[in-house]
Amino acid sequence: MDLEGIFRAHQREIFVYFLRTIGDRERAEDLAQETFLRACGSAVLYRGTASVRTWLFSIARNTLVDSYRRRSPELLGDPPDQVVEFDPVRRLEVEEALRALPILSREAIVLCDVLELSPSDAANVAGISANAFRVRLHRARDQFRKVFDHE
Amino acid sequence: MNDDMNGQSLRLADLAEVDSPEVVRSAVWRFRRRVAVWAFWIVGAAIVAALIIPEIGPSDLPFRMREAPGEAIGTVIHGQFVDVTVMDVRRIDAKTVGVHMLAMSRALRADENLHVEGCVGPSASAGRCVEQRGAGSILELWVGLLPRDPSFEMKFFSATGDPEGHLTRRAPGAPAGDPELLAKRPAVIFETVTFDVRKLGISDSIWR
Repeated sequence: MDLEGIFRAHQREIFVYFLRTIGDRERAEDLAQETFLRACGSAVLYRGTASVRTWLFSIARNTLVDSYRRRSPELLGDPPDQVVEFDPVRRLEVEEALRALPILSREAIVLCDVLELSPSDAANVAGISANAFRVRLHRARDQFRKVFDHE
Repeated sequence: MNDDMNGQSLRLADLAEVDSPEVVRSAVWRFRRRVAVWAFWIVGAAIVAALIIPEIGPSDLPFRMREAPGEAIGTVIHGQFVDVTVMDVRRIDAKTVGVHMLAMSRALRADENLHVEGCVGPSASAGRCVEQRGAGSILELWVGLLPRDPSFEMKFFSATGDPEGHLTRRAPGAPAGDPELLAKRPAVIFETVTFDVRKLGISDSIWR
């Protein structure tokens, strides 16, 4: 499989990572494209120590962090994305509850519960230890439950 | 996270079920375009650098000899019409030994200049190339030689006019040196001086 094929295999989940973390489809598309652009440039540096998936998510996270540094207020204030495929009312409630979380909590849930990365892979992506990430994920899930129950 | 909230099953992984736009193709295309632009500028910069850098610093033999290690010699070779003093010898690089000489003739007319055969200009690097500066009967020479040559020779000749634009104050046609020598010498190429390197006293570390 060539590089473009490998990237295409991960295109949807990279897009979902941005979409569910920042909640803006247009920005998510831009950041996903920026992620793959950066991945093209750093592909020669990839040593295979982590899976391609983890490597791409690490690049995606760096892209997101850089984007937040540039335009944090806009991203946090974006309106909910209207992605409705089934059970629309319930889905919107879940999306809104997720969006109400702090960004790091939201990211932890997106990585582990939406995209179903293992906690150790997600910890690699987030650049922290597996134990620290498990603590973050546990707190994020508690926060999510509280918000969701309240709604 | 599979959970039960408000009596209904909640599966967050369902949030991943979205249609993804095509971003890889445009990212790869942007990357290729960016590489092409970089390559264009790098090649352009390399071409410009290749054109400019040789012009920045002097690269002629006298300049290169000033920067090279060597030793003073002081040996004088006496010819019939020309005397040549080997002033210093320097190892310029693995393939070139530079010899700095001063030639003087007393067998010239006032409107003549002493010259030596060889390539004149900044191209002197290896082989027998000569840079020469002077006017009238004195000629300063820088010669690039191949190392290990046991001997070399130089053909001196006279020419009227001044290739370097120097003015001469002597009257045209008047003898500038010894009239007897002037009467004896041939018309143009008037002396070939042979240099035996072993007799010049150059150390092996420079010549080998």
